[in-house]
Amino acid sequence: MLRLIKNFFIVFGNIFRKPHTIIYPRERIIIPDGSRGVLHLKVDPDSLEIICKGCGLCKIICSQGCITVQKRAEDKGREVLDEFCLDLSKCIFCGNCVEFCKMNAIDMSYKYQLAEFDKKNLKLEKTELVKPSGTIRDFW
Amino acid sequence: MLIILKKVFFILAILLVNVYICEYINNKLTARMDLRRGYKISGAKGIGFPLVRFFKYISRSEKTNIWTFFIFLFSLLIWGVVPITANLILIEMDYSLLVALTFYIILIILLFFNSGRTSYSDAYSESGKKVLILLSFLIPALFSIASIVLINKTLSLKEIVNSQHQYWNIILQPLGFMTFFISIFLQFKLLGIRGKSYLSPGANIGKEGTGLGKIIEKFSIYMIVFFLIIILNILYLGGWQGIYIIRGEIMLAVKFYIIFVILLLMDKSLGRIDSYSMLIRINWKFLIPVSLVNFIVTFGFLIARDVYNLI
Amino acid sequence: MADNIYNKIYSSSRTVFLEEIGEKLKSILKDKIEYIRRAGLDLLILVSKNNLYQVIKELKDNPDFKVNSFQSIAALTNGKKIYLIINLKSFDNDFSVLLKIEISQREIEGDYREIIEMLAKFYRAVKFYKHSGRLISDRCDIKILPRSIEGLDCFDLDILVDNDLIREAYVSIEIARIIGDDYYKDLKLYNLIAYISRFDWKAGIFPEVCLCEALEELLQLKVTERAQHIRMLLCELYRISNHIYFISNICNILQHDIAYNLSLLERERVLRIIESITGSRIVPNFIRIGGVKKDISEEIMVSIRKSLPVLFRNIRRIEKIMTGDFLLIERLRGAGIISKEIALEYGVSGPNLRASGIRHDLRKVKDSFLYKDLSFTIPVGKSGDCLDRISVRFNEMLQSLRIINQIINKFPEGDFIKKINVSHPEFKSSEISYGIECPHGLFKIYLEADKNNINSLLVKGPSFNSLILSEEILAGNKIEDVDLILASLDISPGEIISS
Repeated sequence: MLRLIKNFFIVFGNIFRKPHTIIYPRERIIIPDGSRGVLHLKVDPDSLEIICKGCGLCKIICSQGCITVQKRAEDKGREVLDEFCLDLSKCIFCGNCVEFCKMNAIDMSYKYQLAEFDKKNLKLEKTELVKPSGTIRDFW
Repeated sequence: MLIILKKVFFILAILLVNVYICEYINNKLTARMDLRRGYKISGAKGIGFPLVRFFKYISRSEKTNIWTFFIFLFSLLIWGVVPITANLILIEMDYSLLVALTFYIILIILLFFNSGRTSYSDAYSESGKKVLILLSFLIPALFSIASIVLINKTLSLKEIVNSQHQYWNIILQPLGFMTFFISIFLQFKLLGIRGKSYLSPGANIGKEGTGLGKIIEKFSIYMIVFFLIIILNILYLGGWQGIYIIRGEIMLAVKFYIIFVILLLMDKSLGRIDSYSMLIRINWKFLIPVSLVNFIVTFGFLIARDVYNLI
Repeated sequence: MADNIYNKIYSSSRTVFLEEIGEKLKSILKDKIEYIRRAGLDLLILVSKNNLYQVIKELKDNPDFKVNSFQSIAALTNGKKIYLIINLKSFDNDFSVLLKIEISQREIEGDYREIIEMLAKFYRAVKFYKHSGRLISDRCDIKILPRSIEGLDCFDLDILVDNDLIREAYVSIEIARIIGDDYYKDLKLYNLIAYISRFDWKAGIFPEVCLCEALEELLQLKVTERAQHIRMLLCELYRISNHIYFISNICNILQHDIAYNLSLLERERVLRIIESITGSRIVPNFIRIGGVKKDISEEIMVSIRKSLPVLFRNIRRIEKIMTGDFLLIERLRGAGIISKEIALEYGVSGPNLRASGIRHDLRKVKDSFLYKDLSFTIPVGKSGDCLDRISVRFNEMLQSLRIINQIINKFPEGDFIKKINVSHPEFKSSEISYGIECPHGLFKIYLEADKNNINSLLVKGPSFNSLILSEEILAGNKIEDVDLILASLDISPGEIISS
């Protein structure tokens, strides 16, 4: 019985406490460091070129088959990434591609807002994957 | 004739305004009790929320049913008999307490018929049981009312209020107040003013619900709650009696909202009580004996004082 | 006759391998059984279909074995052959038996029915497999659809009632999409690890740990101490997260809003720690063969150390709020009682088993992890009703916090992974069955490996046994307690799909 009275006052006190929910678009909570979001192609900070050479290992690794990679040979036999496409409708965010990449050319950003009206928009091209996602640590 | 129309208009306006405020409090305050922020609309602390919900419901479907119409009618008819304040009453009579209680019982039975309109056969008997339990909570309330009637020696609600000009009945009848309040609270919980109503057929349907019928059902449940709170006010807390310079109407409003918020708080702090055996046990092993003892003591006291002149 | 009955008898793991023995099972196993029990191994017996009856009879009736608990039954394909694997367990002698039966490809249906009929004579739990697939919805009184109970969207429940009381209850898992072991066939190991945590979305680390440890045992690899500590830490964090989610589920059903809100807040706190370690909340994909994916940094350790006392205080507070409320206690007490005998017979494990008064925890029994270095107690209930199941879980959470505290205080230095060639591993070709104590019970894996790849893999979650048991214990309870009892068994839908 005493407990019920205590519960009554806990509920009463809750009215004056700070609420724990947030109003989503306006306020955001910082997501923890190292969380796995959408893939991101790294850029060499000196030469501003994409590090990825298009070896295609991530394509072999990916169990869902959501990555397509193509490379092309430029002059002097240098291999350059031609096309890198990520199909978000298939990706399960396991992070194996990042782990297996020998060039260390991809990492996972904190981007999370993935809802789209059109299914075509879920296929991300190279130009979109290179962009850093808003801020360095995006919010949730 | 004009005076009566004016009175009807006043009563309806007061009821509608209070339903709006109570709906707002119900949504906003219960959210804050959950450490949530509650509904927000256009930044003004969600003032327009009940209106938005009203339009949302009414836009889905306008189908009604004969029972919902009767419920709507009776939930308004109660206020012809129960005085909100001294002037806001349509028909003045000596037996208003009895008539009000009859209306109330009819309203609950109508809710029962309303809940049985689905084709699902088990839901009917389920909600039937709940309504019977709800009615059985009237027994301790009736005992408490009877002892009040014995003390004040009248059946008119107006007279009961007037006889409390010195001190409220709660001082004379603390046990009766307690049982009456608990039975009101349990009825409040069974009616399901927040979340899902236990009377609606199906556990999950009650949460959502659409259309005009839902609005009427909700409105009538608010009417029942208002009726219960106002009856509690009239019987025990002095009704519209003013204190010193404070007007009676303001006192009534303050008491009304304090009781409403306390009921909401208690509803939040307790879990769901939907086990029939537990409800029946609370009723028959606690409420009814206590109210019966209270009634017998009052009766004996009055006999000793008035008949034998002992005290 | 005995010559043909027991073609092969050997323990599943690397130790005992006996073949073509012309003696009786009893005399063969007499000296071996003690060893198997001490090493914590499973006994694997290859039986033909005709001799199954005699083998089970001897296993059950002989006091030296006393195999009285039915665990699971599953089909397995290896190459072109099809096998049935029946898992039985003896709690008195503490060892489990796997019976492997080959069935012909032409008469799969008939053979399966025959074997089930035979098993049903010995074990009551097999009754479930007999009527499964045959819906009784036309004559049931109340049909509970999967959508109507929150969190349990994998089965139908048909109920026959007498007034308020439930007379009979039938579970049908037709709706669940059952995944055979073909699912794993072409998968590489790293992808298998990424996938397997989806079988248990309430505590995703445990399938990964189970699979990786089984493979490590096949590779005869020893994990470093630091990696083991990280694994233990994650296991306990997930255990707390699962249990507190369980509590919130119960509170949601009882509409006890104070405890509901508080417990969800605490779950959020635990999940944030987990996310900062693994990078994901539900599907960690963190355990690797030979260690773990990432090291734990010092910052995370500090944050865990900070939040431990807060967690302890808040969990105690929720416990006080729930156990002090006499209305709640009255509702929970006496609902869905599981007696000791029934729990053993149906092969229930984990907190549900401990709530009915049997002190059995794989963390204490097996020495796979470094749990023997840590001090903790196993909470045990008395009567096995809903209240006991809740209080056991509360106590387990507090014990988990105690374990985490000890782990953090003596966190060893060293490597967190031993690098091996994951794409071309070299297994010792054999069968292995490996179990681990997950929050719902005993999570078990049976796999057969070739030289270079895994031939077949069976995943058996503990929730399936709880679901079978729910048929038995629902009878005699009130209608309004159905969702409460089902929630108190802590059934994880992913495991039912996988079985």
